Amino acid sequence: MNTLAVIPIIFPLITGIVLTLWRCSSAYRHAYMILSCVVHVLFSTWLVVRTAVEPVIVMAIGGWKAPFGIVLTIDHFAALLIATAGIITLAVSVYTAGESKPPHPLRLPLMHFMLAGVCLSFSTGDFFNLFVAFEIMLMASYALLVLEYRPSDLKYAYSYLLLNIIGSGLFLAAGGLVYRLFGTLNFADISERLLFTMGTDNRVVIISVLMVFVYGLKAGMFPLFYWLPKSYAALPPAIGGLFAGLLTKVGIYALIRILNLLFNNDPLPLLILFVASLFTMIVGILLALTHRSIRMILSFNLIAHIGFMVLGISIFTGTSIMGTVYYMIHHMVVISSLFLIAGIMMNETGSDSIDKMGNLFKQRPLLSVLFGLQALALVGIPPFSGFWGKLIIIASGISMGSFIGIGALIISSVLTLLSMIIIWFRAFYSETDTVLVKHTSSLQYVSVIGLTALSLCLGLGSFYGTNAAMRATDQLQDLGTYQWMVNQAVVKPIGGVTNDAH
Amino acid sequence: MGILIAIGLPVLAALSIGVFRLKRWVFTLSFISALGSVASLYTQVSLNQVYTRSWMPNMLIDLSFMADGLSLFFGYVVSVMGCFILFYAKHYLPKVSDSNPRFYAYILLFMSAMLGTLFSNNLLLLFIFWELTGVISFLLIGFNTHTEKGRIGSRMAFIVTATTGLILLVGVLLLGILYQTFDISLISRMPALDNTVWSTLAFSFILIGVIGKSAQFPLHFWLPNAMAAPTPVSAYLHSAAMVKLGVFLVARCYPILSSLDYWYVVGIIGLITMVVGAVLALLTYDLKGILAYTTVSQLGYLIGFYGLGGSTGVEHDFFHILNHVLYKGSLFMVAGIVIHAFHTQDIRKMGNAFSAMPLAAIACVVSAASMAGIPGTTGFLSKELMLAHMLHHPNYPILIGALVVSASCLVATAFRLCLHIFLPSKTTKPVESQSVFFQLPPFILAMATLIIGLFPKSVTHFLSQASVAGLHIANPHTVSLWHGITPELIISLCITLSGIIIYTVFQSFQWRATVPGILQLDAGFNRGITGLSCLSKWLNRRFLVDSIRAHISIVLVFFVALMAPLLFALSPSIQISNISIVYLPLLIITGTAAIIVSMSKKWHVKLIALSVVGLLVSFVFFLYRAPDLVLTQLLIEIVSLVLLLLFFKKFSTMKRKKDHAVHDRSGLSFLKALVSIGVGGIVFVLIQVVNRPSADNPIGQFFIENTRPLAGGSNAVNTILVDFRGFDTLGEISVLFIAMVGVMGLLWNKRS
Repeated sequence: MNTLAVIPIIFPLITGIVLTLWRCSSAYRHAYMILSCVVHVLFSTWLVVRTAVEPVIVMAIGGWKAPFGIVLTIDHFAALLIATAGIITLAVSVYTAGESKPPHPLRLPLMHFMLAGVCLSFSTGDFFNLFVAFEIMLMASYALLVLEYRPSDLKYAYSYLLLNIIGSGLFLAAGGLVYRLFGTLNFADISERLLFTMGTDNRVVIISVLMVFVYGLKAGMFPLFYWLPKSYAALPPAIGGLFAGLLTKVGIYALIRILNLLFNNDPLPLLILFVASLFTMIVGILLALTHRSIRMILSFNLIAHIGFMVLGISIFTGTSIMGTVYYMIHHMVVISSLFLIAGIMMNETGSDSIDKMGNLFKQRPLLSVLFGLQALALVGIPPFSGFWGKLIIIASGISMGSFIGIGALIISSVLTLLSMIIIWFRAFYSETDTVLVKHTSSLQYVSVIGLTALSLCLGLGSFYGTNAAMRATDQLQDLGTYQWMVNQAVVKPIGGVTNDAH
Repeated sequence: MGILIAIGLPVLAALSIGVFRLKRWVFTLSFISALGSVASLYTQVSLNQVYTRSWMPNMLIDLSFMADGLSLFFGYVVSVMGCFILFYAKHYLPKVSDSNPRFYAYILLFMSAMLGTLFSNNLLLLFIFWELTGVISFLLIGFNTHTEKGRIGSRMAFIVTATTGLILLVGVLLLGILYQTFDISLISRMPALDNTVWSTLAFSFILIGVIGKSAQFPLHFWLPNAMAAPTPVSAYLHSAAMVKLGVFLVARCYPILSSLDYWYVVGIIGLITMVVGAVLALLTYDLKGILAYTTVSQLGYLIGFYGLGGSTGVEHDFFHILNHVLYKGSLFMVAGIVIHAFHTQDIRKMGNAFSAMPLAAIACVVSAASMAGIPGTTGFLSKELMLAHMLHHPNYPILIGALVVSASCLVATAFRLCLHIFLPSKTTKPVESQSVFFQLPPFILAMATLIIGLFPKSVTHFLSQASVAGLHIANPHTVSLWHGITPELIISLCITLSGIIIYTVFQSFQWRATVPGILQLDAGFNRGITGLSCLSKWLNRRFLVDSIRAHISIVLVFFVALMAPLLFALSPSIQISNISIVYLPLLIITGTAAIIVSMSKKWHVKLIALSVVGLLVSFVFFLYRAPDLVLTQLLIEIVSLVLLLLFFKKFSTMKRKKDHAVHDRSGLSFLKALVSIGVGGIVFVLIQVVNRPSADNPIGQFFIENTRPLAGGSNAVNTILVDFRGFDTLGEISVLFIAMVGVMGLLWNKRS
């Protein structure tokens, strides 16, 4: 059974290859893509259900025992994120299928390559393999960026490319340092060796800070977010939604996972994260307030909310991590759907600037309701999904006495509200002479409605959501069981050759 | 269960209006559901009934509702007023309009959210409904979507209440942490809080929430701006319902928080608001603005009353609230009728309206009399009770003074309202008469004011049944119209007289005074919002430069700034390992080449220097006895050099654009050199720091030992790549494939 852990990675990879090579009418390609996403979602839902009760699923790839070969480890946290990533890709696929102007034919395979990379990042239990996963994901994103941009926007790709390459370079260097320091790359092994031999070694702190830098860059933390806003805002909304939903969250995921492994009671990395989160929350949202391009506003909101998650990590108690996990899942769904909604708004009005939009409230009531609900969720008005994660983070902040963090979070939330009101007034309320051009297919509405419904469920059914987040956090922090499960991962001899060396 | 029906019925009606896009029978449906809500409160809900269903046990939030005297009293106020408002709105709204169903749906949703807040038996659930009232009030205030005033007013109301709401949340969470539960009925049975830092913090955060929601000074400014809403909304939200939530919360928290040392702050804020609101009411000419400021004043009166309360409890608070609900609701509805008739909100352009709306005029006179505290109305009784209460307080001179000032201003305002709207005037033309049904709701409310004012015992009996332990004292004084000649009565007379004097004074200079600039906090708020967007613009200009070099510099400077102090602080533990002398010439040549790469202006020199660096790196690999890596590195160097040369040859004719050269100033390039050296140095030190194997047993040994027996190959690097860690290689191959797909796509783009 554990072998199935590789499916969420291999499946999109195969779909990507097939879609690259298979030339046929676009209807078939879209149908195949959607079908593949559905299977991915179903399978990852099964993983979620299974990890909810059973311990972490470990697959030793190639049958090589734990610290020597690569293991895939899917715990509840990973399973939840894999499922969410699958759902978002499904929604974007459906949305893409409904686009009036046919998308670039290579968008479909590249989306799936990216999904493969993202899922591998969530499920790998090996440090160098995490780097490889990042590379798959980033390479797919580079390709998407270059193919989807209009020539005039290509200049934004350079920033994205170069900053991410710097990040990857340092990530690779960190990999080398980790191996040199711990003598191993396996997560479980690292934590074991950390526990037994080098609990107070200063060098662990140095490595942790390096990780904070590398993943902070991927996550879009202040002041490392320069690659993000303009490059996202220039993407077509479908791809923008995919990027916004998945890519930065991988950075947050890696921060949580790695700090959880490397944490040795030294508060320095957390302190750095805390200060960075304050700036990210405030600066990110302040930057949003003057923009008129709806995708730009959303991109800066994304950065500000990354600050919320980083704040949650920096408090670093079980409760705060739980809140962060819940907030992450909520945010993946909501920010993607807002990008897609922005896409529909752009379709209808023919422009991406809110100044050129108008009349949407009276003439597109469904769209208004969808935007309104998701904006409320993004702001974190109870009982919508954004509230619960924030509530838990605030509660954990109070119990740690971190009122500065809470204050910044409140200010940032209020300014998020302001930025959503700006969009609401301009694009929905104002009665301009904008002529609405109908381009939106029902498929696009279906995709957005699906995501909105999911976000509503996350809000109203947050009992299950928070329970899942609690389970994920407990499992994440229970390193003993994790190590034990990884070490005893069953290795079946294949074809008479036994490689059980120990 | 009855509570759930009361909350759920309006939601159901609103949802069915929204989902089925009902056009007809909308009013009937809404009105029936509101009536049903009242009926279920009356028939199905009994005192001290608690209904609990588990919702989120892991976060201590249950769907728990409780009916005690406080919530039932407020519940009746909200639902009965809701019926009045719906009936009134039917005549207020245009006969045929697409937006009418939306209006009814919002009002119903609002009613549910209000009832939910009142009956919540869980502090967090209360907060959820509290925020929902804010969201719906945003939609209601901005109901006229095309007006600028509506937008600004709704934005202001939403932002003020949402901000203070989040602060309230922190207070609620603190309370929950202090009591280990959010269950209100449990908390109210526990002892009141001691004076600690935490309880004071909780109290102050909750108080901020109250100030925001109930428009207390200094956040009172949003209420007059919220008057951009249609008048039924103003009558409902801003007299009876939403702004009373702050009063409700103060009453709710009274048993547990009133023993705190700083509780008197509630009284101070209330009294300041009372005076400020009443004075500002004199200085404005917008009819709804006048009413809004009197509301602000009265909210201060109500909240201040709780602030003064003794440790044993307060008395007759419900009577004060009921008084305000009745006369203010009636006055707002009258204002709606008047504005409907005159098509203006400017009281200076009104007059002569009696014949067009006799019922409304009577309602206005009675309600204004109640506001002024003329004997025979509830307002008189309320003021007498308040004066009696204040006279027993140790600081009574200040309190009485504040009450006299504010009440006199209200008397003057009451005179102004009645005389200026309804008396004959030369300047205004008579207006068309208004329908009787339209005038009926305010008239009924006004009559209630009068009847209760004359026969107070008819309601005080009911109100005393609703008393809540901890909030109310056990045996309140009875309310009666005539107590004989008491100090209260004399002060009351003085108030009326001084009110008349104020009226004549203002009349003599034509009410020309306006709100002083220092009190126009709403303008300040809007300036703040504009300022934020200016700040945003400045930040964007300053920090969001569109230059890749700047981006890279910022990221690298941050890297240096992060790592350098860290490495420096931990430097005692760093020992630079011995570097073999072989590396020295290597280091020098590589360094020189690297400097040439960055300094040279010619691209081919740069390229060749770059490949020198690469080749020398492969020499390092050679020194470490890694022939495979040497070969790979050489291959990469050669291929990339050739490709780049070909590439640049093709583009060598292109001129360098000017804007690329702009940033190449000497100071900047010095900084760049510093950063480059910094990054290089840090990576160097990092490697030196870590390069002390502490792990006793690196896994690399396993690969070397087992490459032949287990993987069947003689080269450990190969077996790692293709067998032990073959999955990495699969990933890397995928990366190459994806890159190829990308290139393919680019070529494709070029072709098409």
